[in-house]
Amino acid sequence: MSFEIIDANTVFGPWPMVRADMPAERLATALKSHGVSASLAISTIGALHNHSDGNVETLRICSEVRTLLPVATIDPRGYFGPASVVTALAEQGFKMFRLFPLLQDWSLDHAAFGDVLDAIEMVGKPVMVQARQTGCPSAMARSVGSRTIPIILEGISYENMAEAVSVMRNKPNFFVDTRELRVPGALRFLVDQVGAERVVFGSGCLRNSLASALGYITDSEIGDEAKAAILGGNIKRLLGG
Amino acid sequence: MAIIDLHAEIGTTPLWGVPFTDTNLTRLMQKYGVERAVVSSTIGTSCDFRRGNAHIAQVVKSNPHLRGCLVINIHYPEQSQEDMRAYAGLDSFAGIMLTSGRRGDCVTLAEAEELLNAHRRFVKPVFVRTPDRASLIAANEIAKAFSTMKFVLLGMGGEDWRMATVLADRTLNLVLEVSGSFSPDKIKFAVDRIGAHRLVYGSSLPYCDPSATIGLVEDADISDADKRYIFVNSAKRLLGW
Repeated sequence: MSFEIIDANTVFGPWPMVRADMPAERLATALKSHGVSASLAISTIGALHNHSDGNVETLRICSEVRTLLPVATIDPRGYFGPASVVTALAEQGFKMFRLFPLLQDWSLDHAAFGDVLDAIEMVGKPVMVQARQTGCPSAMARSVGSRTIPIILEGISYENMAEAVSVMRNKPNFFVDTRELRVPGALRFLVDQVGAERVVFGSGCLRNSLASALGYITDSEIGDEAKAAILGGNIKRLLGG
Repeated sequence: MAIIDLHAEIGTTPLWGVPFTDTNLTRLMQKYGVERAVVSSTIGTSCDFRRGNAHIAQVVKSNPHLRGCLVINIHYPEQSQEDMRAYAGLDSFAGIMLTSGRRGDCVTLAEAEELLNAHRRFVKPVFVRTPDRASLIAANEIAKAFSTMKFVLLGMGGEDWRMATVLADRTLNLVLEVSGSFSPDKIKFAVDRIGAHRLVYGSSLPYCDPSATIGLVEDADISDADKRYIFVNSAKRLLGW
């Protein structure tokens, strides 16, 4: 069975901390060669330098490479509002927002992070947040509080899956991506716990192998319907079809 | 008193994304009597050294009061060497800055050796960020291994300025750039221990207002001749101006 594949977690741009070759053209080639129809993509400039420059770069590149759907970022350490800043990003065509508390070293109880979430909730876009460390899902649940904005916990792994599942049982607006899922049977277990409709495919490409991430999903012991939802259906729904 | 600033950056700032252009820098140079400044790019030091170097090359070509500081990244030796070949020999570039690509991670001798061997022929100083003790120790090890090169320790070890001074007392090719800590004892301690001819002024713009470091030096209990060394003569000697 063939699936429509949309990768919710891709990046391009400079990566100074270790050697990495990450031009957008390489991302586009990887998507094409693995049958991925589109990916939500973001420039690393926004995470590593400042969100203003990064968002401009992301929008420019994504307008040139049609398979890349632009993702905006806001760094709460440099966010002073007003909320119309976020509204403007949505109007420019950004499909999702990503936040990088671990990479940028800010806490999930950062007051400005709450302001950012409020502003994003007004535009109704999903938010993907780094959550690969133990404690992140719980802290994220506390920070989100009663907001109903769709939250995708990024980088959930063997170590904090129980925590993520616990959060998701109480928070119907929480989802997880598959970037850090490596353990045999973990995806099937996750689907059993929270349902396939709460899991979105995210590879982390170009930082991670797209082939490896895709292979893990397609080889997993879950039904085709669940695979179709994870590989594309769920993120399409979150993006509004 | 004329001043040479050996440590300034231009470009949009990380986090806030506030533009700090060469025009902004020039205005501040005029205000504080800075006759020349050595500049690198904010985006070059935060995430994309090649983009930053290209920007700086354009800026210094048209502004005789500015000299470039070429940023190189130990994780990208080939690309760093390409930039060295393109820019390091130009009169408009005053030296190179060794970076690890991540603020807070110091550059070690093993990682820098290849690039520094390639830099020997340019006979220009090497700038190294030293915000803390670990970076001081690493920079000192590098300086001892390349004893014919001059190494400028940017930030003078931060709160570990005493250690920076002690190391410079023993490693004679170290030069201390006096931004960093604002301890009122720092400048006199260093002048008494290693001499003002081993100290240079750097503003740390756009992250620090020049008034702060200038005030620190002017207020120090040292002679006017020593202050002239710190503000201008040591830099002239170091750069052959």
